[in-house]
Amino acid sequence: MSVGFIGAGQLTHALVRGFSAAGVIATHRITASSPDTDLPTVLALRKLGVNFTTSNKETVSKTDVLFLAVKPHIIPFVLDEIGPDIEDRHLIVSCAAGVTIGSIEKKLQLYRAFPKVMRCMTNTPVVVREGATVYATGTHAKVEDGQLLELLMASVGYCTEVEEDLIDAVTGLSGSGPAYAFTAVDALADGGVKMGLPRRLAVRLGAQALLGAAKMLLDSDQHPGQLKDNVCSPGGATIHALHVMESGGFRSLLINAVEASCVRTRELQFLADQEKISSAAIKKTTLDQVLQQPGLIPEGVEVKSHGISMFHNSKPRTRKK
Amino acid sequence: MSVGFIGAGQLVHALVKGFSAAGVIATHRITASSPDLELPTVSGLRKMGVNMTTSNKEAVSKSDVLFLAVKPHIIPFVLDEIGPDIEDRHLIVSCAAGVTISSIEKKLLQYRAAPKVMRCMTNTPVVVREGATVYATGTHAELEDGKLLEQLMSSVGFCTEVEEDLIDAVTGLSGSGPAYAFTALDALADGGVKMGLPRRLAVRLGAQALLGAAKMLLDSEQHPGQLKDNVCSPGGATIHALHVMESGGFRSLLINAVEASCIRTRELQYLADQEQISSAAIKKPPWTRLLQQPGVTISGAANGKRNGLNLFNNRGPNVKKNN
Repeated sequence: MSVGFIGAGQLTHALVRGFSAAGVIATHRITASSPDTDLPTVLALRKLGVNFTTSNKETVSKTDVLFLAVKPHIIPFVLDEIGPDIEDRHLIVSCAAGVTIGSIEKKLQLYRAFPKVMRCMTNTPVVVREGATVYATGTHAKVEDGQLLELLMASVGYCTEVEEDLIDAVTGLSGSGPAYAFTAVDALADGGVKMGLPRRLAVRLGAQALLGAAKMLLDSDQHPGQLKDNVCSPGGATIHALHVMESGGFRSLLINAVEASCVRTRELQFLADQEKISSAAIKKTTLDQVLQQPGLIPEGVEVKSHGISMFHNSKPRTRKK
Repeated sequence: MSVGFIGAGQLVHALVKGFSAAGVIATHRITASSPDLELPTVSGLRKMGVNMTTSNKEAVSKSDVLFLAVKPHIIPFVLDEIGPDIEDRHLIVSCAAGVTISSIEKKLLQYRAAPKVMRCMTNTPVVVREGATVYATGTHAELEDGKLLEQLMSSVGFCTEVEEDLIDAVTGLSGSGPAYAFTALDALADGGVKMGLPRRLAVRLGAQALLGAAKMLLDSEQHPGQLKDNVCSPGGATIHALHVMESGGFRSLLINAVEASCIRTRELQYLADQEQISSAAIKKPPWTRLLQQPGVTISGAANGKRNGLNLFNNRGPNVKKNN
């Protein structure tokens, strides 16, 4: 089995490192492609033994499971490029936040009758094999495809199947979750330093306390509130600390965060479904590549003042400002 | 080597579970004592193969490393009881928040010339072998004693030696830290449920996200802020979420929490050093046993005055009980 990645950024790097550490696939059986070979992650991927190329088509030809690990607004371009090269064996797994299975299937069906598509939302701790991944299955993907993806993703952390409509909420919670944690550890360390600890020790202790508590919760059947009660002795230091946290609406801030991330994900999905992309959002290299595609005449690409319409192949009207 | 615990509550249970899982000591070489054998943790300890007793003296006689795992205000009683039984081999490790090494040494010096005392601050995730422990070394403890303690505590998580004056801050940070995390996880799960996730999945994903992030940080040389930057794509969902957190002063609340816990620890230490304990703070069994101790007197304790009980000053018998 070979695995390919369209895109060679943070996510690809994290997944490859995790898969490699888990021994679930040899790195020479992994191919990754990107137009930009200067990315720091590209160098790291090369060092890991991954086959690196600038050709998405090459990645497709060399793989069975193909991860789409590019930014959401790049997905349509990629699908147009690789659509003709997809074979029966290919399992397309999109990791792009907010991009629906329906939109991907719609694009690929221009080229193939039954494209096997899955969608997953993972997070960066896959790099240390403690990721949190959910996936949803497309119309033509089979049970074995789900099992294969789950085998891969379970090697780098927690993995479970969900209905697609939950994925935005998962993005808000565990997709963005690591950022909440990094912020928290930074602040906890500040607190430790304020009370006299050296910085390195404070960061270490803060991260260790969070890790240990999370592990306790995962290994326990008890409610988080019960575990919290167990560590609050009467009149003690911890309950004093909890009071000041509650006074500041600590819990509410975290609910707000999950909500904000989820809402923004839905927003991005809505904009993508509108199929309008601001030209500023597309890096020059990608646009150049698109313009080089056979069959795509520059005059056919409408550059509107508010963006580029890619999905509607209207009559060629040159109105370049 | 044998290990003893004075006390058989949450901390003892967590440490024994951790040590046992780590295989660093066989449970039949562990003895724990408590006056209250009805505690839920006691049956857990028995099941693990720990020798349970109501006699602190028995725990002392059967151990080399003796953990004092009782509430801070009980420590003086315990020291008075076991003081005469301490031998040269004993290493006394106090886990009581806010109780200074010197207060323990002062008490034990009444019985022994060079008591080997250490003080540690750990936390409950030792139960899953991911604890955070710091320790400070007393006047008469030797290098090997520190190494022995570190070997034990490293089997259940991170362990490092510190100067004693840092221990209160450590209490505020990693001692209380798990409670901050449990609260955060409860809230994150609420957020997930609000946005449509089933509760169990939300709890699972939240805990997994925290665990993974913490592990990334521990395994990385990078600053937490850099790791945060790495996961915030331009205009993306995560940076939107971070903004609302910052708007609410999220970071400040955590700094406040560490500070509040540390200050309360120092407060408790100060009250203990004052050597005054309100009689209400002492549960009945040790109190009644105390009255049975020769030479212990009560002054003003039973007449409702809040001047407390003087334990450390052995004045002449003025029994001033008036109802």
